[in-house]
Amino acid sequence: MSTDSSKILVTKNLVKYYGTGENQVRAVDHTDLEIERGKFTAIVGRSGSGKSTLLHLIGGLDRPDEGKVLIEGKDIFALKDDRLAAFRRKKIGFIFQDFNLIPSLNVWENIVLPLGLDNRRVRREDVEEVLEKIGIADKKDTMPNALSGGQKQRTAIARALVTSPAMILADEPTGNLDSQTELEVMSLLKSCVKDMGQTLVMITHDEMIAQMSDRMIEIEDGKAVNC
Amino acid sequence: MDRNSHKKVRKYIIIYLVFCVFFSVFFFILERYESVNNRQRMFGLITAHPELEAEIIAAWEKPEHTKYEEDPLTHTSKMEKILKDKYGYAENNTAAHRSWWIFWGVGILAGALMTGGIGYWDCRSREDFRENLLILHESLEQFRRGEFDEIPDYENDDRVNSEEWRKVWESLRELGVYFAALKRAFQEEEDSTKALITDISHQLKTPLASLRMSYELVSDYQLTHEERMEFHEQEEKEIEKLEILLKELVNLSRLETHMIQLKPIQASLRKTLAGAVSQIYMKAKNKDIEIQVEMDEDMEICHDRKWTEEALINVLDNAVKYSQEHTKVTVRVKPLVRNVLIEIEDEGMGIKKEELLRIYHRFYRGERAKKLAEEGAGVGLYLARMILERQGGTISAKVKSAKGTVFRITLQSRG
Amino acid sequence: MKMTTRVAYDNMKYYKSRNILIGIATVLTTMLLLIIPTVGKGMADLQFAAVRKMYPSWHALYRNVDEETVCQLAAHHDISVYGLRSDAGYMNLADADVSMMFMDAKGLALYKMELAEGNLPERKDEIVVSEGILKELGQRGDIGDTVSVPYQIYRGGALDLTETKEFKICGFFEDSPSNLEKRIYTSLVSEAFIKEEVPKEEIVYRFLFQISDTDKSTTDNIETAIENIAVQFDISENETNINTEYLAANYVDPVTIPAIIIIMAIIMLAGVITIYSIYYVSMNQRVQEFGRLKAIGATKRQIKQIVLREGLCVAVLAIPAGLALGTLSSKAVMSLFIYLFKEESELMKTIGEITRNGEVSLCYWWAYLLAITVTLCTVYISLLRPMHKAAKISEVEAMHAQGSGKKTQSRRKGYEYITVGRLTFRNLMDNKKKSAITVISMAATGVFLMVVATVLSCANPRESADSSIVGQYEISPIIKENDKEHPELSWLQVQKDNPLDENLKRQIEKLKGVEKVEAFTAIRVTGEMFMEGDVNAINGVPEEYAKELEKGIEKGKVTYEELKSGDKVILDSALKHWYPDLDVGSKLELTVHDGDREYEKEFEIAAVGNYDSGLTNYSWLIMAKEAADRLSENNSNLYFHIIADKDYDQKLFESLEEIVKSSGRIEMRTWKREYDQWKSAMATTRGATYAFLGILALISVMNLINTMLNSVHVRKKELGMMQAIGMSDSQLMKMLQLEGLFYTAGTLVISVGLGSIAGYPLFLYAKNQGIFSITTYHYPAAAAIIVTAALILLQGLLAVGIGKSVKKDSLIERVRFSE
Repeated sequence: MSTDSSKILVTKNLVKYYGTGENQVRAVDHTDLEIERGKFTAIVGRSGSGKSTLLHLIGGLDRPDEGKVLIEGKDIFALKDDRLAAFRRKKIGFIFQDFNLIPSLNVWENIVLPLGLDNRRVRREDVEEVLEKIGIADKKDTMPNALSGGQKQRTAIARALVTSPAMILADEPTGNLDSQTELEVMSLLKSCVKDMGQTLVMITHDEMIAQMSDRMIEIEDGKAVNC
Repeated sequence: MDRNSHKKVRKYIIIYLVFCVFFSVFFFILERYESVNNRQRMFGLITAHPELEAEIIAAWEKPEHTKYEEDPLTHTSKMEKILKDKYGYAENNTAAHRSWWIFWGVGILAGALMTGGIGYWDCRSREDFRENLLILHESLEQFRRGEFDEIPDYENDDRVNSEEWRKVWESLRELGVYFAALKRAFQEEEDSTKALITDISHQLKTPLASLRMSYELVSDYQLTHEERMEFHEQEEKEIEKLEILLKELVNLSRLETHMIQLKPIQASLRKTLAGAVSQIYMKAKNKDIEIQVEMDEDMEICHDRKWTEEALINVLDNAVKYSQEHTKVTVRVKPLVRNVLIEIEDEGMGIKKEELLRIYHRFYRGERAKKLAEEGAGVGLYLARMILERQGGTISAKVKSAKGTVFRITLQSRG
Repeated sequence: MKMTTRVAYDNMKYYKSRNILIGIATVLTTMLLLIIPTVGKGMADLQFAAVRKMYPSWHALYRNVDEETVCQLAAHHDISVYGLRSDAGYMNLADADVSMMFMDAKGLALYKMELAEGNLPERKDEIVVSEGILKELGQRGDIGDTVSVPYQIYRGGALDLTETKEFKICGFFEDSPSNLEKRIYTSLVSEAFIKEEVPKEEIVYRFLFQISDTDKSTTDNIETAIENIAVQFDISENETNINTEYLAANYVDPVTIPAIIIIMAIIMLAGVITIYSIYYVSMNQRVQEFGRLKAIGATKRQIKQIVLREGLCVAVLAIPAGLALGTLSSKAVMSLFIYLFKEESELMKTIGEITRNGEVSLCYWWAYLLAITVTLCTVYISLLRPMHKAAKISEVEAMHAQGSGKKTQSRRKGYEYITVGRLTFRNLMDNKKKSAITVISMAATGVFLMVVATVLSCANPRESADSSIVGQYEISPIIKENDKEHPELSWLQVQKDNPLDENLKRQIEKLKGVEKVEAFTAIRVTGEMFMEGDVNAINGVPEEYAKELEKGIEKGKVTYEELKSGDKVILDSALKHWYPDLDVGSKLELTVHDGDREYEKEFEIAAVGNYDSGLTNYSWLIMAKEAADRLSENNSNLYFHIIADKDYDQKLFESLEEIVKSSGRIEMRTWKREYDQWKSAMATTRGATYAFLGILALISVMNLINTMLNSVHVRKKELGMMQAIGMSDSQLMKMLQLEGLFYTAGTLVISVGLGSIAGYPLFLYAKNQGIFSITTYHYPAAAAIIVTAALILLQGLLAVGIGKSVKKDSLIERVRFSE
């Protein structure tokens, strides 16, 4: 199997419809996409344009009706559920709009959770370095509900980064933040991704955020339009 | 069957023999214990029921039994002796002993089967292990040939059955991907340098051509002094433009090819900002554009002074260049938690939404920008973004609904 | 107001799964609440109806009352109706027992007997017989015909020699099937006959009477009245016979009501705990929703109404179902009982008849009313807290993103490394209260189950049989005291020519399967410290039982060696019960009866012990066999206890039967029959109790299902989240399993642990009260294992089921899910 190694992610003829008949929503409609390694790709589009669905398909959270998603040349939907989950936690870090921290775990525990799930050893110094970099080193014992929005998203970013995944998928990561925090989080995310040479795919409807990307893909009615 | 397997077989045979010895010894002791126990019980029976003694002994038909009218002590030992003899007699003949032998045989046989089984399983797993090593070897060979992209996927391979091997393959694949990426990065570097050279030569071509034309015109034709002066003036302008362009190109190429390393140090942002503003001040004054700086207090932030100033100059220059006369450019500095936000707001022509991403592209100039200001190579924002991002900062533009643009620049307050 | 109902109704439909659970719990609670009183009352009513049908209707009788006292008693204020009976003697027939007695018309009525035809005998040669009696006599006849009857008259407390006389039949009894089967009949003679045959001063009557029951409506009061009268007329306790069954059937026993109340209270408690816990667990999650209602202007009162109405809606649907199920199952339970035990006794047969004829209504309106009221109360009580909680929520709190309204600490030291197990632990710790409530409510049932199981497991038919007989077979000589016809059957005579001799012993020992024959001796003694006519016996226990004897000692100290001396005895506590003055160290001046010989001897009570009736055989002065044998010149073996290799062996039994038959002078008791009797007696209670406990357990299972469902439902998003960041399905399952395991383990530890501990005092109580003749403590291992296995299995299934239901939604739906 030979692939272009500059493309970390390739989707082929990806299709995902919801509903049937007149109510059918073509969330992702025969989309071919290529994401370059080490780049920051922004996926923009109006709400309801199917960009979230696309991200979920890319991240292996949902199975498509048709088509393939190849991550580093590997067809992820050929994997069984458990293997897919294992693949996901190794290769992909997720950052969600509403943070999705586990309320019963403190910051540190939230961050090391993906490592634990992967039965990986926690290297304390590595995690502390990430915490330092993210700027929540002093919050590591704090429970999520005592954090501000920005701190929550930082924790989520740390959690996504800690496994050093090949690709970080962010779904409107700053959607719940005020504009100043938004800038902070973005600058953090961008510099982290840049420093670690990671690939970032981000969904956003904010042009200011999209500008910071290396490449922008616009989604309209489930189809990708390259900008 | 190679030497290795012979060795292994020998090992298992030795293990089995050791087992046989231990088992037999253990068995012997167990059997001993049992029979002694039995004997003691028998003995106990007799001492408990002396009235049965004669009966028991008679049943054994031993000649000694007649001599038992002695003191209790010798009596006891004699009894024991009889029992011992009786025991010896029983040892070889009774059914009980046959079953002991069967037990022993079964034990030894079971041991043999188990050893065989373990040995076979061991061989099998070693076989798999060797197979895996061969595949590993093949993959490494492949790497050596530079074929990084073609590491086969062992996800569904039967041979790769253990979690550990799977992890090895995954690492191998990742290594391949990494090498491929490295290789590609070199390629890209090369490509981008080529592109840069092409771009630069393309950029230089136009001013050089016009300079050449002007020069040819001046030398070829008999021109009036006025005309000649006009051409000289033209040439001087072109040379000036060329100089600016060259300077930009030099910066660009140096940064692009990492010939210049940014050296962020803890320094006053106010000073950097002041430097940038002073560079652009004359240009603004010429257009009667007011530059207003709103900054509450100075901040020591970690940045490369020279190049950050350069980036700011580029953004300010754009603001001034694409603004009408008698307008205002506002620079606001706000501390964020871990960053500093520098907003540069103008009242100029603004940027079209479709162009928002392209303005940072190398040598991109918007259509309207070209019309409005002739000079400029379209590297300002490209350069600014490169400088800022290399220091962990960001830059983004926001189109104001009314008129003008706001550039938002963030810089990390600490390194 | 209409709005609140509407919202409540919609809520009910929306939270279908949880409401179904609450519904099921409510149905089960209602069902239990209906079944218990219905079956209890129904069985009692049936029994009472049968008793009323079968038992004589006298409240009590006084034996051995002379004519004069009869007249005095008749005048007593409290006695409303009385009848007389006087036993004349027996007809001397080979195989049948036909008693001859005089009874007046009232007496006959009080005995629920009536003549099929004819009149009561008046003249001294008149007699009332039955066809059966005539057949036994081998004669035929009709009213007015004469029959010749050989009979033995009671004279001076013993049966006299046989005489034969001609009687004229004046009436007929009808034979009951049991008369014919057992060949036991009653014939009536006239008072004149007795007066002629027996000297006037020896004639005694049984005085049967009913107490006028105006203000004595409880059994206790009536019994007191009877005893009072007896004291007034110097009638001893032994000569008073109270018809307890009849009294119980007709009057209220003050003890039963609290018992039923306690059982109902337990069910209600279990129901409340379960329903409460289900509401508690699910309400937390809905706080937000109520908050939203508040934000759009619902008042506290309205929110309370919504919660209450939703709960009541479910109850209103569930209660009829519970009532219907309860009615059906109580019918089924009763029929099953009657079917299972119809062969057990005459009473059960009658009960069966009564049910078939529908003579007793088995529906009790009050039971329904009670079930409805109690269930509604249960639901209401369970709803109180959620109602208040829902009403108290502030709008802001509810609208807050994840405002579950609970205050958790803001900082906490954490694990450096997170595993699935730790993750589960964190989650449980985060929901401490919820977890605790679930565990406690489930454990409550578990403890109850274990405690009852302890008593039931102690009620072991094998042990009860073991305690009532030593060995597998017991052979003793046939003994009949005070029979003039057979004076040789009195023990003192039997002693002189005892069939239990060495020959018999050897004969038995030779039988296949017999391991040992143990002979027990009995020496008859009387003494002044015992009541007149109270004959006691010294029990000679063989040396093999020395250990048992020493083990049974409760007070004092004596070794078997000392018992061999012949003047020391162990007093069984059963005898001490009658004569509390006797104690360790007391000297007993006794007259020893040995054949025709009598002599005085002094014994010392060396210890007081408690022994199985199988060992003592009601001979309560225990001594070493060899010493007891020394007291007698005769062979005083009263019992051969045969120890066999098997509990029951048809062949051995038959050969023993053969020996018994051929001797004609001995009789046999078998372990097997004792065992069967105990078994059937216990099976009923055991079955009923376990069924009851089963339903109770089912209620609390609802609780577990709810908690787990809920914990998954609430965390739908969180779980989806964890899966998004890489938790695999198997890890998710593991987490759910662990969580379930926590509940299971918690429940198990508490119920098995606490249940086992609490079971012991109950065992002691049961032992003291002699319930099921429980003697030894048995750990209810089977129950513990079943409870454990069932819980583990259940939680495993639950985790799988819930895991499946989680997977039904796609990951994305879960990640996006918000309440």
